[in-house]
Amino acid sequence: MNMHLQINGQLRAVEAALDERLLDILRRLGYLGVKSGGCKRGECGACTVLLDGKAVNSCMFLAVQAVRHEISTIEALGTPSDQGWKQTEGLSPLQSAFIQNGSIQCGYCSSGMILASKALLDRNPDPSEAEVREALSGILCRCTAYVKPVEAVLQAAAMMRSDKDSANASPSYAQPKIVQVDFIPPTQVIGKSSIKVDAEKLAQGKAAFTADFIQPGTLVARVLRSPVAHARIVRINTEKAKALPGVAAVLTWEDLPRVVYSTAGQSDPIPGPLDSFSLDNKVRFVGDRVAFVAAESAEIADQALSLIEVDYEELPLVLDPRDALKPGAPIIHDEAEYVNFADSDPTINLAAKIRIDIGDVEKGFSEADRVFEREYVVPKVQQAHIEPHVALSYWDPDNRLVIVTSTQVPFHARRMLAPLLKLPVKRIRVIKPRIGGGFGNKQEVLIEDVVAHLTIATGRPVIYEMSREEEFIASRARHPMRIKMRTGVKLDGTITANEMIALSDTGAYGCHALTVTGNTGQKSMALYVGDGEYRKSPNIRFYADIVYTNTPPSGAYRGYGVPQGYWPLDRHMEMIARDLGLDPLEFRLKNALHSGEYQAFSTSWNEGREPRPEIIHTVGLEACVREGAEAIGWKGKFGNASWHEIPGKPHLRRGIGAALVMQGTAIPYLDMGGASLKLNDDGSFNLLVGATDLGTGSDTVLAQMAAEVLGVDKDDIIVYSSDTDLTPFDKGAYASSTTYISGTAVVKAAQQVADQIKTRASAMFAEVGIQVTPDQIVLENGAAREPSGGSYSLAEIALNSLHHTNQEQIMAVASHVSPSSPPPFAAQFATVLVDLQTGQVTVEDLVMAVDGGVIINPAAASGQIEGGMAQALGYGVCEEMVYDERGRAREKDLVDYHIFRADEMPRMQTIFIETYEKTHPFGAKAVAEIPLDGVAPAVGNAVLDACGADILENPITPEKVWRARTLKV
Amino acid sequence: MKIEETQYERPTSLEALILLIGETHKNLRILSGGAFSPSKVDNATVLIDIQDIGADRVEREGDFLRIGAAASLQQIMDADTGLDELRVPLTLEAGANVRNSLSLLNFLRSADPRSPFLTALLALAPELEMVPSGKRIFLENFPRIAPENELEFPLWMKLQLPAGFAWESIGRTPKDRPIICMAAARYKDGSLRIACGGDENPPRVVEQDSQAETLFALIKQAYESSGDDWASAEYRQEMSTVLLMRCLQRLEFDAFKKEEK
Repeated sequence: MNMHLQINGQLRAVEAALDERLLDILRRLGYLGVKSGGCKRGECGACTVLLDGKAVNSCMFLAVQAVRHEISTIEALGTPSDQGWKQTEGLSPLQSAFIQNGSIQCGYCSSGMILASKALLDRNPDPSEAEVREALSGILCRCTAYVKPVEAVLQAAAMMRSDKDSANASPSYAQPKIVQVDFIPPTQVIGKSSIKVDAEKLAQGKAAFTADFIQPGTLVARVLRSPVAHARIVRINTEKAKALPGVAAVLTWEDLPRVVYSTAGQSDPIPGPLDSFSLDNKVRFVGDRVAFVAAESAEIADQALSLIEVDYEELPLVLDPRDALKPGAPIIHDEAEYVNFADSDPTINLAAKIRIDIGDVEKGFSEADRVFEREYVVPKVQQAHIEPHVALSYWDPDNRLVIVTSTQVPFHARRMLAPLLKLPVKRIRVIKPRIGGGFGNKQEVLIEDVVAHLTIATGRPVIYEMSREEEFIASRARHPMRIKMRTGVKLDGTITANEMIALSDTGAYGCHALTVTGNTGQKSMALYVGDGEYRKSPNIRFYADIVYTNTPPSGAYRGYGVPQGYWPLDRHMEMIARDLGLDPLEFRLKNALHSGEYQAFSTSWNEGREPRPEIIHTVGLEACVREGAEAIGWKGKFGNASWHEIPGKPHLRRGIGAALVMQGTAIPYLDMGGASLKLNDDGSFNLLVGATDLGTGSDTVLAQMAAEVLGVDKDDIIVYSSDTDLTPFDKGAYASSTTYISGTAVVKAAQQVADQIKTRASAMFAEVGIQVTPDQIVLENGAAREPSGGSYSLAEIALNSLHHTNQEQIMAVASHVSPSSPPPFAAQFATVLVDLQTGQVTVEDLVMAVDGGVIINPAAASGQIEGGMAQALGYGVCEEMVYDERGRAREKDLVDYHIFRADEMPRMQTIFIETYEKTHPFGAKAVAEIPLDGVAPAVGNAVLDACGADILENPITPEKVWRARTLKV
Repeated sequence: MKIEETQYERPTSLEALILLIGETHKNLRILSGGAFSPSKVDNATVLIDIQDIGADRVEREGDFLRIGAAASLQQIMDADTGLDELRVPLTLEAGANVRNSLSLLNFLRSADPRSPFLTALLALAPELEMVPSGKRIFLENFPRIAPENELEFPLWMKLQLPAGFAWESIGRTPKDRPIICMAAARYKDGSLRIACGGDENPPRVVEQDSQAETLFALIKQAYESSGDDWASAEYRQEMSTVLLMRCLQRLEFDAFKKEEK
């Protein structure tokens, strides 16, 4: 039908079907700031628009309902003032505030947040923080914890109420506290909260994400998913589906090459079993792939799915990992093509096995005064990035397959897809645009093969976007585990032996099975080495069985196994400290790793490869504890009965808890990143990196490092990342490696370019009679300066090199692989309010003091900490994925799977303890994953402190607290 | 039926709406704001969008509140009801965007059994004024699944504002869906109406005309078979008495304050 929509002040004639949603029409018309979260029912708010000035979800309206209403999208707000010869009014105060204070991480929800804030400020120019949080409550953000967006709205409101110029002149950055414990050499660009290189475009809702690049005539893909948890497909009939007008292809296992692979995006060789097929004649979980469809529209593709006839021969299930290894258990992987890795054994449902003994563990136990033993359980949880998995593929004019995809691992994806598609690597190009959050779930080659197979089948462009339900039932999740702890301790608090035995559930496929669970032990158990003689030779054991079950696969999730380790380890430390009457912080510090000591696990394990012993040089843990404790007011609260009680509310009780954690920084001797850098005519530079910015700000941090070396402003570095045709190789965004590995590659390339610039400048100075050697020249403020004060701008040097004398392109390529993996450390604190009658827990404060080495960009880094803490808080109190007796998921949307909203966040504080890590050119380590590790145990310890409820299984739900208290009483 | 053949109508008066309903006899569907269900459109011969007939208002008339079918949840939240605690289940029901989008009628059609706002509404004993018949039905008798042919639907909801209203719930986080919730309304004549929910059974009403002891027994009984994935029946039964006690204490406190004034 024909209709007219009033969009951003313009009346537009639109031809639309009656059942088309406003979201789809707006995107079709090019308003790409309106995003899709895959839910189509208003769960996430990514598709926010203003309808008559009110923030609504455009997925919840038919387009026709919006006729005769004023629709505003982010495109109605400002654009940067400098448009070449044309000047505009510039960005709106809200956009500017979001950009300047670091509110924009992945940026997928930013348009919605800015619009909802505009609606608020239009009706209330002076809102309170609570009112801002209320206004943002309909837009879920998985990156920021809403800390900086809320502050940005308040800043913008202040700016709009008063003189614009004065507010612009003094933007207030959301700066964390920084405490330097080592000498940090002075820098010009490093350590500054530079604005993210992609913030402006994201604040305007420009085309940036995979789905924004759809071409006319693109087919829409859908995947038929299994309704049963374990079955053989005995018959599959696609005739009716294929006959449906508008269907371009229907593919089943009979149509595709049978190539076994792992979906885990890791370096070659993949450290895990090969146990997956693009399509198989067996399904292993509810949600497993059965068939692919490509059609002219989503509606036709959905209809085609319903026309595929499948006969399943159902097989017995195994859902509980405790049953998986039992004799007679149903075998999930009986395919002949299965390829073992290390100790995997599909005949007993064993995806991986780890046995690590460091020192003499039994001797350590025999020397202990007390041995503490308990079992802990951690749940399966979802990454819940707001942009779903999206991939788009097409043949380019040179008959090469181009895949645009929201991946964290474009180079791994290209390598891994080639055999599946029967194409050589050279005929595949993978492009990663901006990513709307990934958190590990996009470290998986999960959907790229779907579009690629369908493009090969049809010859046409194909797009596939997972629905929110598919994200829950068919993507990846954090491995659930049951973990037994046994710790030997002297009465003075010296740990003599520490043992962790894990049973890890990898679900139906073994992607990341070995490496995630390896991290569970490696990065948690190595923190506590004992004291005295035990410190010199710690006794540590970590055993793990990683088993298959008929549930959706586990995989990579930010923290990569480590949060699973710290829930049992730190809850166990708390129990021991309290039992022995020791101060919990002192007890932990007494046994914790010191600088100059080995990472104990590095002497015994390396993800199935040869161990490489590594000494840890920077450990800022004591300062983390000191600063964090001061920030949360530990001394005045811990053990202070009057603080714990709430006057007039005897049913409420406060509690305080802490957890100490460490993570890793990259994978030594394996992770490699490359960078290339070239000088342009005007003295700017193109930096090409394979590193994958998934919203973390890594492109910005890399630009800052290059700028520091080259003596220019960060804005003189133009970053282009992650295109397998154009950029150097990079392993991708995982293992907290980008700043450390890719950053060092950038610095190396920049140093080479700097050397070339200095050499040319030396020659240019010589031409005017100034004799200086290159090493006497300093690059600063966009120029090369010689000691007596003479200088050439980089633009002059560029013109000289490109056009005037001995012409050459000043450029360099470098790469880096590290022998080190220097861990960041942190102390995480929580205060809680517990309702003694109901067991309800309200987390009031989270503080994290983190030693991430030198912080390259405090706003970006603190954004990582805040967002990570919010995810970890969900792990602590509300997030879990549960399956019924037939393997069907309880959580299929963001209503039942609750992630924190803006209007319910605890107060948060970030403190950076800066040590100087000498293995990085600027002393940096990592910060992105470590915030996931300690929140849940800190909250658990705080609940124990408040009411005596000792919860061993997270999340800490009201009923668990109530039961723990009831049983105790 | 193909979507191209579906007719879309947006009447501008009640009379025009009734006329349209009278003309159509098959697969008529009512659109009343956002949060539509795709199935709402499937096989419809006529979609009647009621956004322009003036039923997008919340009106207070003395002790009574009238809420139009097309009024949004946010309008209800912003209305001058004098019941501050009624805002809480609305914020638990959904974030601001959905509240701005979701109309009362679509909410009533789509609310799941765990809905906190549905529980709160039940405590207020609302009556639904059906169009075009003019019949009045209580909310608890309203079928939440829309019929294939919506020849009759509630255009207004009317409720008497109580003298006091208390809300209590328990959730995993401050804004998570409650695993148990309770709303209590106390009226000027001293009567008390309590609705309880939060489990996978639909919210239900426990009325009190007699002793408090009976009330506590009744509320516990209401959660007898409430065990589900989110909480056990045992927990909910225990908590029901805690929440009830808190509601009652607060209502009496409110009443006491009013008497003092």
